[in-house]
Amino acid sequence: MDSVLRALAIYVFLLVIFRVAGKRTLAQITVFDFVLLLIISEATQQAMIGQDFSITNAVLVITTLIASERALTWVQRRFKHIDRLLDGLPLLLVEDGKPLEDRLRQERIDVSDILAAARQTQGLARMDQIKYAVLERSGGISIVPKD
Amino acid sequence: MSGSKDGLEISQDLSFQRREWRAQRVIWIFIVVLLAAALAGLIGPGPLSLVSAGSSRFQIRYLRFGRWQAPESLVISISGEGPRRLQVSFNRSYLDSMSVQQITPQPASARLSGGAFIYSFATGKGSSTDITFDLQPSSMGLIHGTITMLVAGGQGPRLDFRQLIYP
Repeated sequence: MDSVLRALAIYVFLLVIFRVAGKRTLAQITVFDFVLLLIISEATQQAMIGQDFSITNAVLVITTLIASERALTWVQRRFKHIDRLLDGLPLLLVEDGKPLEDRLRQERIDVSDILAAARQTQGLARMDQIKYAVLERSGGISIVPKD
Repeated sequence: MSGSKDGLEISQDLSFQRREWRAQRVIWIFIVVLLAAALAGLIGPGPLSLVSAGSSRFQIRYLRFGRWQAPESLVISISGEGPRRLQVSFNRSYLDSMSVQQITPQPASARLSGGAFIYSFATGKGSSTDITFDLQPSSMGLIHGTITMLVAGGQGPRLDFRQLIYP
């Protein structure tokens, strides 16, 4: 019982904290983000495993995590409002070469982030070559170039 | 505003987006409060958690807020000319929710009597004694403790305390 509840509690907590942190938090893995991710997993592991190092416990914890993930995916497919509550919605950041400043500020995104995405994905050099830039649910920035 | 937006097929919803930002701000305030509380010691060890109770003759120091399965300690201080054999009793329900890892100094004996655990310590001629119980909470929630000092067979001073154990 313990193992399942522990894993479930951690799962829910991580879901909430990363949702609140915003889409971009760990979306673009810099070296430091990567290290942070490792530290988080280390801290998480202690709470999930406790002092029970048995294989049974590991099996139960992993099974709970995978089952939670599957259940959540099912719920998200079934109920659209829960889906957008958990994963958010895409957001238009640039329209016809004009950055929408208040949205960038709210999501803590720089114009330079958008230009970097434009260079990397489309090989664009300037803002006015961008037709649309969208902050995706995954936290990535996608670029649609002007024709 | 959802669905396509002249040419761009995107399920954007600005009113939802604004509510999301507002909710994130509110939860961030909550997180800051939570971290401040943790630093102050309201969610485990810390300045506001460490308390002492009792008189200068018979005093205990303990954590008001503990965490499940996290080591903590309880110190009983007895000063003044004590008896050669010192006995303290714990209520049974307290030790049911706390597992005793180590007692320093080691008790000469431990026995169960009525609803209480009685530890006996052989003390020297010294004027004060600190007895440290290294504990580990084995249950969560509110725990009631009662520590009684036994003198000459009868009951001496008694201390009641409560601890909140977080999951």
